[in-house]
Amino acid sequence: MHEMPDTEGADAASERLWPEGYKQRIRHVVTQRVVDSLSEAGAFEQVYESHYTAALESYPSFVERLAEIVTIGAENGTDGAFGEIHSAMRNGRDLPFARVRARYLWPQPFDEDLKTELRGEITAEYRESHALEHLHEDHYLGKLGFEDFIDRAAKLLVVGGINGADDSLAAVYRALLDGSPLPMARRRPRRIQ
Amino acid sequence: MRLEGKVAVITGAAGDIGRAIALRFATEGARVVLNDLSEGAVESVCGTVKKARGKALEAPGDVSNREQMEAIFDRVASKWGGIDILVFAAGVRVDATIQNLSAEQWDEVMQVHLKGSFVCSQLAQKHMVQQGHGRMVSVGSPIPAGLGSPAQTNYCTAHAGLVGLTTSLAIELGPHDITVNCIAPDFIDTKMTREAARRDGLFMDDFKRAVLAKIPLRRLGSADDVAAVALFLASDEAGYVSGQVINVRGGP
Repeated sequence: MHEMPDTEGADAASERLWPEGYKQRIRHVVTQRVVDSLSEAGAFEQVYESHYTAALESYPSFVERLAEIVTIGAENGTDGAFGEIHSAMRNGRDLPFARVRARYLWPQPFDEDLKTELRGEITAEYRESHALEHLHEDHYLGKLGFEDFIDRAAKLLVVGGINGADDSLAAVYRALLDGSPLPMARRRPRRIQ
Repeated sequence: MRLEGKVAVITGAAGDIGRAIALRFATEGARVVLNDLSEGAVESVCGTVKKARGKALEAPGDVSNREQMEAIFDRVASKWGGIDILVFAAGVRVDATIQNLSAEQWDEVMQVHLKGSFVCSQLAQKHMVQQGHGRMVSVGSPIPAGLGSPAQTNYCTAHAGLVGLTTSLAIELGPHDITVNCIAPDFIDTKMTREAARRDGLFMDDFKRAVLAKIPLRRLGSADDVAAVALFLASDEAGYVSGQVINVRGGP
């Protein structure tokens, strides 16, 4: 045991992170759309004045915090969807189906253009992934072409993001209704390939 | 026709309440999938529905057996294109006082009521979420929620669990336009009630006389009374009712 080389530094250096460029897009577009919607409508300004002035110094900073919570929810939602896909792949199960909701809460920051754009980014990213290619070969070859496979995975991720944002909005609105502290929001650590 | 073209899976369809629901749904235009343990009993209900010019599919199986139920749900979805309504009316009573209640008796009731409702609602939601709508209605025990009853620890516990399942599913599935409700019938004139009276050493007539004194409407409920409520909860008219336990007991 004493002679085992310490490779922690080398291991860490060789770790490859998923590019996850689509998350940057979510971060940029979703945050801005939520900020725009809330600012334009002056939504929840009274609620801010009544309950949140001690926690956040101005209404714009309050709106930015809400938008950040929603965005983090969306990003984590894509991770959750990826987790489900990965679990299905590892266990050789069919890919999960997209749980599109019948109704979404205002302001619904994902429009059709953004959904299409994100799907495109995700498929482009996954197309380059050897890890996914191997998983596809191991579990889905003969059932589903690689392009269909990554397209379905991308669709699942986008729906996961939309639902994640929706869940976060729901948590935010529940807090606003009784002036309780805003929900915790933390990004998950970046995934390693 | 309040359920025109809808596909309804009804478990416990050979019981008095399940059968009444199946018939009522079929006469309202639903295509009904009849599930119960006994193949013969399912066949008999199916014959009755078809005689009334309803569309029915026999689907015998054990509600707590995931493989069997999954095969049924998949068969229905591929034959009729989806599942709009789930009525969970499967139930069993195995009464015993706590000192005599065996683990097997406990398990039997939990398997049917709780595992069965979990398995069926999990399978049904898969189709309903994809469709973007759905109705789930469970038939709870004929014991008002929150009240216990001697020698029915297992039954009352299962019913309380069913209420929890109803509420949780209503919250979780609401965004998918799926409503989830539970009917809690009290004294209904069914074979199960008659057997329970007999087990208690009472003739049904004596049992009725005693029970009627407790019911403001002064009559025992019928399976059709329950079916009428199930029909409402399964219909489009109940689109804004979810997570509720509806008592059907002839009084408050």
